[in-house]
Formats: sequence, structure tokens, C-alpha cells
Amino acid sequence: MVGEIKGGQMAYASEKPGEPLPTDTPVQCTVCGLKFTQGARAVCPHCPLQHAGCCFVKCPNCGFDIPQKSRILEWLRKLVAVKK
Amino acid sequence: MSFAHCAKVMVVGNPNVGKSLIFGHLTDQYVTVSNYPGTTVTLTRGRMKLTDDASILVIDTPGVNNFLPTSEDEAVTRDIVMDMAPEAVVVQVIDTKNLQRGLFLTLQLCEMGWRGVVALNMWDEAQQAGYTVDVARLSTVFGVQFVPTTAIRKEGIEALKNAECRFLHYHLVYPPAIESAVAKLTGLLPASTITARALALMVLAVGTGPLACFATLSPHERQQMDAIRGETREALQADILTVINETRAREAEKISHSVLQRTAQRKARPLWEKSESLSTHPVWGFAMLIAILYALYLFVGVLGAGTLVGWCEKGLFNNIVNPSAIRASDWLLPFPHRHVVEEGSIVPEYTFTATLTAGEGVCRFLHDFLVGQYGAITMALTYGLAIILPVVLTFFLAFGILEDLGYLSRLSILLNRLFRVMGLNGKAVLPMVLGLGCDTMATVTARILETRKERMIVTFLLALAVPCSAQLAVIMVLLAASGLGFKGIIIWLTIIALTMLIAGAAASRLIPGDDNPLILEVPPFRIPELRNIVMKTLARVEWYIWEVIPVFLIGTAALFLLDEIGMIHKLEKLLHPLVVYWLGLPEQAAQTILMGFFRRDYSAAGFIHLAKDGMLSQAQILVGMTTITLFVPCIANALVMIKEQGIKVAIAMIAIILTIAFGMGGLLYRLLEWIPWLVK
Repeated sequence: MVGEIKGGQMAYASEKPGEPLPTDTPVQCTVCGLKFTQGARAVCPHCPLQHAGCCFVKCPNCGFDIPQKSRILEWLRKLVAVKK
Repeated sequence: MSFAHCAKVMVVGNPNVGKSLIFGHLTDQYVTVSNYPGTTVTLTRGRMKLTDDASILVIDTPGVNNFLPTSEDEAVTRDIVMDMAPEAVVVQVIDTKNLQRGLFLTLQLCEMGWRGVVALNMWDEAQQAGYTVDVARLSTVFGVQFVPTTAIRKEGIEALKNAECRFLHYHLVYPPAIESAVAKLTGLLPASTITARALALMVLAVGTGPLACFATLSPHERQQMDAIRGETREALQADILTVINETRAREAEKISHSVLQRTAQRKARPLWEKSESLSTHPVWGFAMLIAILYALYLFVGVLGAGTLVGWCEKGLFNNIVNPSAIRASDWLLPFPHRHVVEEGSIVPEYTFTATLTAGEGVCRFLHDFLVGQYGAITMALTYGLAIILPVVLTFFLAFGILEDLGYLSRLSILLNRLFRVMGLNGKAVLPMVLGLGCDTMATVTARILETRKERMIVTFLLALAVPCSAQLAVIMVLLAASGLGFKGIIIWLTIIALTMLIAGAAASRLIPGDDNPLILEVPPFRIPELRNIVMKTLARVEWYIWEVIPVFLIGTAALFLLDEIGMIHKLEKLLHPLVVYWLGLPEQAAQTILMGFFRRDYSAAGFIHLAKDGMLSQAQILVGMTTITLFVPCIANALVMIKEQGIKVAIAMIAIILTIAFGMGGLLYRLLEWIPWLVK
């Protein structure tokens, strides 16, 4: 496994070129309580489910998959913002 | 001495203390991630910028609870610590709330003769919990600077960077037998980067075998050291490792109590606290689990599987979507046929009204591909969107509530006790619980386990006996539709648990060695936030659509092609002995079982169809569900098994799993014939 970290944030080959690096928004795992940043996605290159629809962040301590965003909600938010 | 005068900086600490965050703040430049040579343990290296021209190497080590290793991670960290040059320094990161656990490591760093600085991280959380730490006293006790930090907000990082790195000192006195052995060993030890005392204690605790610096020892020298170990063990009348660990733990506790004070009590939450303690109680915990399962059944099984599926399947798909799709296909792809009408709606079945020309044959092929018996719309989308999606939606909603309530971590602790009976490592519980969400993701999570054997066993048990969210949902639909209700769930759960227990017992024989404790910071129970629950549920539903629907479409296309070349009937005949004689299911169940090779829930959805057509008794539903639950979860899971375990092991696992699945199905069929009063 080889990746690169910029300022503590991990960026892997799985990420599409041109997409911004993960932000340093802190995430707290709802199972083990670990606080970590979205960059800690060390197992993503090994996951066969890493498609465009994947919005999970895996806790580096216990491995729980924490959903980070909903595309439907994002779309609804944008829709409401445009109408306003 | 400051960092500017060091050759290297090594960041060490317990797991889950924010070590990597501190590492990230220390290194502002690009760094590399690689495996430690000869291991699967990941190491991260970076450089801390000192001036425009100067920087030093910083190494982030795996989280450890002890330098006397019980896992590969701990062995790697110990080796790094021992390989470091004398001019290197250490930054130890401690979770301030768990000071005692961190000081247990600090005492070992003192014995090794390291220079460095200690970060008291998660300082804000400790304060919120009402703790105050006498930092000055702690610094005096160990002779180094202790710097309060809140890494997540970058607080205290500058103070840490500017801290002076001094030698850690603390002379811990062990029982006389150990002190005497240390004195004897000191003269025999080879040169090392750590102190002779620390090395002697390592030899006493774990022997000379695992330590690289002893590779050049002569057999005679090894014998002498082993003899000293033997004498010490006899004098102590106990395991040396345990005595050393206990002495260090007691000292860490004593120091922690002398510097840590609780100035404010947490707000009393009697009802929540009572629930928290009940949820992990060996008896009441399981009673609570059954109550939660029943509530889950009412919400998912009755509301989701009954009401919502009724609306979606009958109201939306059977009355609107499928008839519209069939009419549109008939118009776009005309050929002489007439569809059957059931309950006022046209269905995929039809009869030919004339012989087809070549062009009409092509139209018929495309028509059937879209809206035939194995049509992409009438089968794949109807199964995926009308039958499973509503139940998955309610299941994910309930799962999100349990997750945000803080119940999942408690479930891990509750099951940890049960899994220990089966001989499974405590840490192995987490991937098994996570498998209830998605087995494939949980199989990837099995990487957190230390040994290959543990990873193999967990991968095997996940694929064998842990139903994923989508499958749990479909099982609820089927059991609700069959009239078996909660009784059906209990019977099904008992069989699956028994299978896992037997497999676990076999695993306990395969895995020798000590158990690793399950260390988990359990968050308190709290009221879930609606916004969070909605976001998580929608995110998981979106994932389901991305992940599952394409597999359903591919599986249906494969069935369609098999049907077109007349293979379905042949396969049904081929599987006849297994399906009809051994499992006691109708012949048509053969194609449903074939669907199980794509996804277990896809197959279970096929069983729903058979049950709705009145082709299955309650006993047959239970047999079908049990067989399918014990199948390999899905193609993605099989792929990740191959990726993680290698093709040979994965194929062997899949063969064993299929044997168990059909074996248990057949046994259950015979058992239910013996006790006919259990189910109709």
C-alpha cells in the first residue's frame, strides 16, 4: 500500500484526479468514539465497493463505515438554494 | 535539547489517542506510507520543517498498549524503538482521559532510556469530563515536559514543537526475584540502543527468541539466560510477563491518582446510566437485545415488509410501473402475443397469437429482456426497488438510530463474552457486528486483526453466518409474509447462531494462543439527532442502489440468457436431487438458489415470489432462508475474499461454506419433519 499525505491528509489512487483532497473535518466514530479526519481512508484501495456512489469513511480504529453525505440531500439543498 | 538537534522523531502511543493527527501537524510536507519490511503493518514517515533548509524525519508508529508485544503491530513498534539511533527522540501521545494507560507506556520508555516529550492529548475532552491534571508534578515525576494538546483543533502543537527533549527518568522497582534476575542478566546481554535494564526485563518477560539483537548469541549464552528465566519463574511461582505487567500497571495507577483530579462531576443521568449498564450485562444485556430485535421486527418486518412493500409492489410496480413498461415495450417491440391479466393489471406472462417472423423474434427477445419473466424491469427492478428497497430503508433507519444511540459498541461488548465462549478473539467481534451492515466492507475491516489465522476465521464466519442489512431485510419480508412472524425469526436466528457456534468451536481449535482484550472507548447513550439519522439513512440507501441494483440486473440478465438457451430447465433437473430430495423444496426453487450465487438477498427475494405464489410451506420457507443465509453473501464478497486471502484459500472457503449451507438446510428439513408442530 503506497499513498501520499499532505499535511496529515491521505490521498490515494482511488480518488479521481481533479477532486479536492479530503478536508480536515473531524469525524467521530459512532462505534468506538475515535475522532479522526476524513483523510484516514487507508483501506479504500482494498475495497471492491469503492465506486462513485461510496460516501463512507472507515474508522481507522474499529473499521466502522460512517456515512458522510447524502447525494439526494445535497441535490435537494442545491434545489432549494436555486429557488431562493 | 530541542527537535532541531535530533536525528529522528518517533511518535508513539496507545491506539485511538490522536497520534496520527499529531503526526500530521508535526509534518507539513508530503510524506509516504508503506509497509514495515516483512509485515502487513503500515508505517508513515514524514519530515518536520525546522528552517527553510533543514528538516527532520518523523515516523508515526502503530498504536500499542505494551512494548512487550502480543501482536504484529506491537512487535513492529518495539523493533522500531529498539532500532532507533541514540540521537533520536520520542513524542509520546497520551489520551488525557486515560492517563493510566498512557503512563504504562511512559514507564517503559523511561526504562529504555529514551529522550523526548509527552503530549497530553484530548485535553479538552478531559476538561469537559471534569478532570484536571497536575502537569507540573507529572513533568517533575518523569523529568520531561508534558504538553497539553487538543490535536483535532491544533491546540498545543506549537508548544509541543518548541518543547525541550529531555531524558525520561523513573526508577520502577520490581519484586526481588525480578531485580535479582535483571542484575544477573545485565552482564550477559549484547550491546543495544536501549538500556541493559530494559533489555533484561524484555528477556525475562518474552525470552530471547523474538528479539533481533539476540540473533548472534551462542547456544550457551541462550541456555544461561533461559536458566535465569526458569529460576525467576520458580521463585515467583507465577508468569514473569504477568508480574512485570502488573507491577508497571500498579505504578502507572499510583502516579495517575497522584496527578489526576476530578473537579466536577458529570451531570447525573440515572435512567441513561442504568440502561447503559444493563445493555452490557451478561443476562439483562441479552434480554435487551431480544427486546430490540422485537422492536426491529415490528418496525422493519411489519411496517417495512408489510405495509411499505404492499404499497410499492402492488400499488406502484404491479399496477403502474410494470404494466406501463409492458405496454411501452409492446408498442416499441411489436410481435403477435397477448399478455395475461391478473387482478386488472397485465403481467409479464403471455401467449403467442401467431407464428413469429425473424424480425418479430428479435423484438420478442428484446421485449423479454426488458419485461419478460426474467426481465430487467419486471424482475430485477421490481425485486430491488419494490420488494427490498422499502425494507432496507426501514432497516437502515433503525440501524442509524441504534448506531447514534450508542448501542452498537455495547453490542460488541455483549457479544464479546459470547464469542469468547466460541474461542474467538475479542477484537474479532467488531468486524462481525459491522457485517450486519455490509459483509464485504466488514471483510475488509478484518485487516485490523493481528494474525492471518484470525483474519481467515473472521472472513470465513462473516461469509458463512452473518447476514447483511439487505438480507436481514428480505428475511423479515419473507417471515412476515409467511405468517411465521417473530417465532420464525427466533428459529432462524437459533439455527444460524448454532452454525456459527459450531464453526467457532472449530476455529478455537485452529487458533492457539492467548486472547487479546477488546479495548473500546464506549460512548455514552445519547438521543439521536433526526438530521443525522436522515442523512445516514439516505446515504446508505444510495449506496444500496449503486451496489445492489447493478448486480440484480446482471443476475437477471444471466437468468434470462440461461432461459433463452433452455438451460434453466436443465439446471433445475440437475439440481433436482439436491433441491427436491435433500432440501425438500419445490423444483422451481433451483433457479432461486442459482440467484444466490449473485447475492443472497436476490435469492431470498426469489423465495418471496415463490411464497407469494403459494408454492412454499412455512417449513420450506425456513429451510430456504437458512440455506441462503449460509451462502457466500455476494459476488463482491467473494472478490474481496480472493483479494484478502488469495484464490486457493478463498475457493476452499467458498466450497466449505456451500457444503455447510446445503448440509444445514437438509438437516433442518428433516428436523422440521420430526417436529411438525413447530411450523406448518
